[in-house]
Amino acid sequence: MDQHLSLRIENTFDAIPAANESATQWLEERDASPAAVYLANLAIEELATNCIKYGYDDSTRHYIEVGITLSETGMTLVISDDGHAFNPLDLPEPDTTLPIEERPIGGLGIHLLRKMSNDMRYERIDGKNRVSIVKLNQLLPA
Amino acid sequence: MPLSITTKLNPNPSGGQDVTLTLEGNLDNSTVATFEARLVPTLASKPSHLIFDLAQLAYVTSAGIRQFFVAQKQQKAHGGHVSFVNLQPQIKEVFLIMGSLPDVKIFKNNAELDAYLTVRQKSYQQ
Repeated sequence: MDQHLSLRIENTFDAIPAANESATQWLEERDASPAAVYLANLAIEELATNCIKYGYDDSTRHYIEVGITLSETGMTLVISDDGHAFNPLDLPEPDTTLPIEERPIGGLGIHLLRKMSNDMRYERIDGKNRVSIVKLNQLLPA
Repeated sequence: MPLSITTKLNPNPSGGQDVTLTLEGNLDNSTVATFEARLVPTLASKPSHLIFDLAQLAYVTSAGIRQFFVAQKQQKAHGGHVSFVNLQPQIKEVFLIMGSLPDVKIFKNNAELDAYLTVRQKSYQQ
């Protein structure tokens, strides 16, 4: 049966490590793969950080919602926020063949998420950004 | 998980200095300032070879990767080297995604790194 964890992260940088600890503990208790745990941590940090940095103009408190679902096939993580519309998949992929000194500094976190996940999607629904990321369980070699 | 860093200095036969920074814990947004505070003076000392031992590094995010880029740029600017050793599987995947980094060597373990350093030191002595 599917298992689900919901987390709410206040829009302050200080709230991110605690959210990651909760996600890690929950995933490890359910024997999620190290790759899934790593990706969940990375997704929460990279996407919540982007949202806190660029998502809001006001100084009111906002909450970033994280949902993690474990099923037989793998993990689905959904992050949604009520910040400015931002589709991370619109970012160009960084050119990793360029010499180090010519590489742009932005977009690395999103690039990592795209490459480490099996699927990454963005939707704008009811004034909210919604990013979903899928990590499939690795099939054992036959 | 916090980050702890130890620094080891090794004079090399060319008269320069090799520096090993051993990172333990998580290198993310919440700890990157700790890393930067150690990295800045290390790079200012212009080591011949800067080695990052990542055996105990469990987690790195783009914030940490950017600091590794800074290290590579600054080392390259004065003709120094950068190496990474003992990467855990997830960290290795992150490095692979970032692309092959020119002038940067990644070693499986300390034995492989030592063998490389020995060859390099011999080349200084010739």
